[in-house]
Amino acid sequence: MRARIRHQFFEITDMWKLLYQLASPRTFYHFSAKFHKGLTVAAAIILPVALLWGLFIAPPDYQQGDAYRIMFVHVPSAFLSMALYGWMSFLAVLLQVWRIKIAGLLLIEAAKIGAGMTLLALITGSIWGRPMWGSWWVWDARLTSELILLFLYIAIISSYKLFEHQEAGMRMAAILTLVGFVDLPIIHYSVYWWNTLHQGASLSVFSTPKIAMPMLFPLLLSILGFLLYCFCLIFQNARTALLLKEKRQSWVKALMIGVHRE
Amino acid sequence: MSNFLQSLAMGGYGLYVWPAYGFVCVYLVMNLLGMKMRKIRAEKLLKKWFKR
Repeated sequence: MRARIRHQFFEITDMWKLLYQLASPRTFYHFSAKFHKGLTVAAAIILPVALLWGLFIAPPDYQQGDAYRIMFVHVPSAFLSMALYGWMSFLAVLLQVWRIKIAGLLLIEAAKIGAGMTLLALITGSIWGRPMWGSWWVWDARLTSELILLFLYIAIISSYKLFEHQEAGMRMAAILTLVGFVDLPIIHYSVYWWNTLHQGASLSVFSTPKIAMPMLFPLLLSILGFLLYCFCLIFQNARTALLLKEKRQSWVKALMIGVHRE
Repeated sequence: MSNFLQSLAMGGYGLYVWPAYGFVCVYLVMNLLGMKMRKIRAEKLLKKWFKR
């Protein structure tokens, strides 16, 4: 028992050690290069397969016919719009509490991709809503709270750009991210708290899915593909931004012109 | 040919399904191109900076 507790303690301290090591720009740059290639290859294979599966192989829905195929792009983008915001909130805590600058950089890059995902969720949802509800837009609780999420993303990116000093901008963006976190449970529970046109969740961690298996597999694959794609973009963009930010450091110079003066 | 056109029509919902996928594909490709361009621009800028 004691050995197990000791083992767990060392695992936790190792995790913190890794986190602190990753906080160093140089370590982050080299460490992220290792899994960035893997992310890119996986996203390049999974995403097209999932989209083609959803478009041509999955059977039509008995009520919505082929219109439901929009789900294979709408659900992943809506899921990512919220998941990325949740991750940004964690990064905001890392930045505010431990002053980890890489967290600020990742937060801004994630906000840019998250804003795009939210916009995609709104556009594809609107296109899906037209044949199903007979309207492009309704001021439904789910749609409105998702629109607020888009405004939050825009506010976070704008607040970062407003500041001349990059680090002050990051801190402001982190505060706004934490304030806006309250919108996530509102989006999630909006379909239960209010009487909405938008349907309830078909997928849940705690219950069996309300969706048939031949539709569930491509949907899960599509979510995974979108997830990999987003992280591939975020990490690559953060690495590029990091190089520019750290241009005065010798390791950047070594990378760029092959001169190492440490 | 008619089978192909039928599958494109998506049971009358093609007008909605294809634009939705189109928007998504355009966004995904544009983002990838943006990422690549940003990387190339940054590398050029840094090389110029270090040559000074």
